Amino acid sequence: MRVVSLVNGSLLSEAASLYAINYARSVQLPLTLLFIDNGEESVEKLHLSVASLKELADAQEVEVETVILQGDMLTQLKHFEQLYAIDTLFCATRKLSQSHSFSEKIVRAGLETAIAVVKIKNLPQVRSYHRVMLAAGKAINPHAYLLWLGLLGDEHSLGKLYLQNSRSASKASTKSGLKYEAAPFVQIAKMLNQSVEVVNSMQPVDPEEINAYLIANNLDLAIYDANAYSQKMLNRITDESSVNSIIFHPWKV
Amino acid sequence: MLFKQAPEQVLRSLKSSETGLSHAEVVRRLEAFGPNQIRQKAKKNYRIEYLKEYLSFFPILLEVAAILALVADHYQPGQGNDILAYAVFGAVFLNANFTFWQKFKADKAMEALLKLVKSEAKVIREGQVQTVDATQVVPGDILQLEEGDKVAADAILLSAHDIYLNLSVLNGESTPSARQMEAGEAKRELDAKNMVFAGSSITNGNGHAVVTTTGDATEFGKIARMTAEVVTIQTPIEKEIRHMTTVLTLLALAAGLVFFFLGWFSDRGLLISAIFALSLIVANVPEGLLPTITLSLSLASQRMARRQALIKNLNSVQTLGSATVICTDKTGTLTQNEITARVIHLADGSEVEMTGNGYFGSGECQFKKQTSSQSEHRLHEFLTVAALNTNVSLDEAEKKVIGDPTEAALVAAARKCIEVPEPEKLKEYAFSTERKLMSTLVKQGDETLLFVKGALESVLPLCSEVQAESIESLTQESRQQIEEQNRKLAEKAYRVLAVAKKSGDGEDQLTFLGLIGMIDPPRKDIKQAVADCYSAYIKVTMITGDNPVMAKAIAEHIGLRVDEVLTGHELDGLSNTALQAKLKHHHLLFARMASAQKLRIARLLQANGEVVAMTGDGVNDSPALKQADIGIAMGSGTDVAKEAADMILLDDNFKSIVAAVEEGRTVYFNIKKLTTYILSSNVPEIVPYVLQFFLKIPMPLSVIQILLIDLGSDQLPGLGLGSEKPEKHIMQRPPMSKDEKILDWEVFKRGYFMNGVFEGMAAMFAFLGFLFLNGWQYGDLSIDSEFHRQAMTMTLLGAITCQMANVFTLRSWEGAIWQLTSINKMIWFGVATEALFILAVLYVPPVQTVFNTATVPLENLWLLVPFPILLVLNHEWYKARQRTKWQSRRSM
Repeated sequence: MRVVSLVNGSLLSEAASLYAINYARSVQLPLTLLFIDNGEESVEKLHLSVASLKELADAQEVEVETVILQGDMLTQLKHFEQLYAIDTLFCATRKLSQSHSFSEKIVRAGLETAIAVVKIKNLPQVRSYHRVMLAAGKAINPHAYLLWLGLLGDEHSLGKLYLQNSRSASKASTKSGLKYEAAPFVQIAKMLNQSVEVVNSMQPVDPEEINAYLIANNLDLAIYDANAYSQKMLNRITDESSVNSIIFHPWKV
Repeated sequence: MLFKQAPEQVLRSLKSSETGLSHAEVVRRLEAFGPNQIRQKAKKNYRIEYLKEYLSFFPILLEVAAILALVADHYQPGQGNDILAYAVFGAVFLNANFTFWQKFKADKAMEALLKLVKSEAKVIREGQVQTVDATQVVPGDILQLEEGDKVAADAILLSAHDIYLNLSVLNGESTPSARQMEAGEAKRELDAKNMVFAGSSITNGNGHAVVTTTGDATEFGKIARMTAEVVTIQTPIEKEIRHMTTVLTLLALAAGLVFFFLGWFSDRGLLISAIFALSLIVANVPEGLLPTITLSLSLASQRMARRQALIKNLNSVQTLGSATVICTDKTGTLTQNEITARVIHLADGSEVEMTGNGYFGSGECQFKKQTSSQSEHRLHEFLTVAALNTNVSLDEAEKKVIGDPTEAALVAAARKCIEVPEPEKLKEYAFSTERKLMSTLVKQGDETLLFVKGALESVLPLCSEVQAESIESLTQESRQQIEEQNRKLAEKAYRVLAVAKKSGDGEDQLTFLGLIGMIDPPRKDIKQAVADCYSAYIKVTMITGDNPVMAKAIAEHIGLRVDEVLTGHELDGLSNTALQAKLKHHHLLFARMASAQKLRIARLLQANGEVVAMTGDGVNDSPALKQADIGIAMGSGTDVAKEAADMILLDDNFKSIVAAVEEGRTVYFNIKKLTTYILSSNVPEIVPYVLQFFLKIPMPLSVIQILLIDLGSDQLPGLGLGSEKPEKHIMQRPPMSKDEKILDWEVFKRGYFMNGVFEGMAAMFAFLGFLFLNGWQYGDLSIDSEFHRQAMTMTLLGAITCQMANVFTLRSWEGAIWQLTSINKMIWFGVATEALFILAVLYVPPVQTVFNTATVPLENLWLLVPFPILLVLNHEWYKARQRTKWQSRRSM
């Protein structure tokens, strides 16, 4: 198994790879920096970026390899994914989802792996983040949870599990049901000495409120389980957010 | 953390360099991170807003009525129900368009104002310095920072020369904060000394910085975003209009239902009973009320704009009238925000007074006390030292100050009295908050001199001599005398600086030259404005970042009542209960306050039942502005504050707030007047139906004639009442209570039971009088159609003529009609229009066809005369009685 980060030498792909490095270190997997050369990107920039990332990965004792493939992005990616077992594929996306980022095509390509689409809004917070939220909907996906726990990093960080019974807000009877759902996951975090808070919301999702919540609670990174919310909703939340986000698409086996 | 890294590492992390980004990379980053702007509120969808005008309760009621009329016409054609339906649809259409247009115009006015505020940034790209629109700045851009610049984005310094940053928009601290190349002990970006932040401005120095974050991700953006969290309070007028709509509609529905069932059970048939009920509903619903109120508010907001107060939301106009507390900033609102030197105490004992205000105004120095013939020379020397030891630049042509305002005051003072020389500056020892002094080494002729200025406690210990009649040693006694002078000046609200010099370099062994006292002078007429507030029973609370002594002195100077001064630190130590009690029972002055503390004060005042008007200009004032019942942003303030506020003071002047309060109160009473006016005409519309039902007489008034009154003849005079000027004593009465309803018993009483009753009698007197005079016998229902139409015309005219008289007596809510000195052109125009309506329904055949009227013989028109006169006499008599009651209550 490996963690893979798609790179192209851009500032965004480099920033997304920093999260990949942190995750790879936590789950103790090697990291592959994958560049698919379709003739549009500057190879010189890529080498500079890869060198910088390697330096950071070495400092964290993460094993790194760089793979350069040539040809059509999706074809090569599918080919690579069939050859190697991938834990999570990290890729960066642009600010607005209306601009049809390549990440959308990757998500729709049906790859047999989990995909973490990273949207960068605040560059300094990529290098220094302590407060990470997982918006998990009404049930916590174990892989999304693993990514969140992995990115929480050290014991000084604070994690927030944001559970939201948005689709059946009217049917949900008590908040305790959601807490019960989260309890085993909180215990796992505690066993790993991670400080975790559970936030229950019985209200339907409102992008404006979620984003105001992120700022009010000084959060540095928000991870959203893509299966818990509609794509349209996630696009609205992350487009309007001023906080870095990862939309996690768990592999549907 | 990025800000803890060395500059070259920061550049590498951001994939930038000292020569900046390439244009292609800027385009990519702009796409990746978006434009560098705070996300605006989603733009209104005007199609939806327009549709909403048809979907609120009032229009829906009328739409249902119109549909019922169409149904009635389908089953019983030829009864005129189709005309009624179209007339009601027309009324809804007109109402919707009119209301929507007013709101649209108000929105556009605000957009235009915000567009005036546009900022630019100097960036280095591909090695070239370029000035770009601040929205086009991206992470990795190299900002070139110069004195006076507004910082476009959060950035880490790459080079810095004596940079001082005004961070007041972020933390409310008005003292400029020194920047350096090291982050210091900071744990978060906002505390990092090597960073500059979007929204802040460079008060001193220059340098370069690399942008780390833009737009919403900046610290400025985060605060702006937080503003959205505070719940917007429903304004009193919104509550009022909702209350009025509910009450009137329920009344209309109840009356309609009662008569529907009465008719049905008395075998009049379902359809006839339904039409009858519908007519009553249409008669009772004051169709013209909402657009008239909207226009009245709009006219008031235009009057306020002329008085320098721009209202963003029409509904806020009336909230101002209910304001019980005004929480105001000091600098710029109560004062002129132009620090001016007023007094100089020379070390030889002479005292100089300085006249003139501001940085560019004229003025002169006058000796109040002159101890020696050398004093003029000493003054020259003093001002030279003070003016040359600065970094400020005063642009006379553009009347613009670049740099610290206190230094600007020194230069302005010197320019008033002397020709300031321009010696070569050799070196500068920068000011810092720790040192509290600044020195400049200059070369004057062959001599090298060090000029020093600063707080007395910093400068005096460095002095060993004093410039008395001659240069003398500084004794303990003279030190004490200087300290005493300093204390006295501070007590008079002066900001005091000590000035010293020496020959040669080194900040020691200085010669003390004297003290200069500066003040931010109160605005002209501010004393009267504050007094007006007190006579209007409005508390005025000063909330300032300045020190308590200075704040209190200014407060006393302008006549502000102060029982207790609380500093920000003391405020933090008080529980909500304790602070709430203090706010209730004392006149407080808040000094050394951070803007964030304003929110707490606003909330607690509201918890005490106060209606709070709060001023602010910085980004972090925004939550308090939003929380207050009426947030007032300064015209010179930030976009975010303007966005959060309900009103913008174009001239930043406290006096304009008071003027706006007066307008607010006026609007409140004007709406009362016009509501009473419109309710009055409901009675002559309802009474004929009721009498026709019970007395079995011919129908005195048709539904289309009711609509002619409500949407035709009543509109312009109603609008005239809505635009009445402030009444004489409006600012000498307490504010309206938050719970006080516009549609209170007084309005009902005057509308329905006094003036309305006279109008009802007038209408029936005219109708029955005409019938009897022309040979009609009671019980005859099959009257000739022309004769019936003439009689209905008399009913209509009875109502309209009474309304013509009603509008004059309602011009003053409390005062007598003959005491009014102003002429309300709109009312005269409205009355003229009513006269035209009368002529049209009497003599223009097409109008007669539509409104079912006919020409009435002139000899019958005397029937219209008595009741308008009686209405006026009765209402004036009532007001006179009320005045006597109020006066005895006020004198108690």
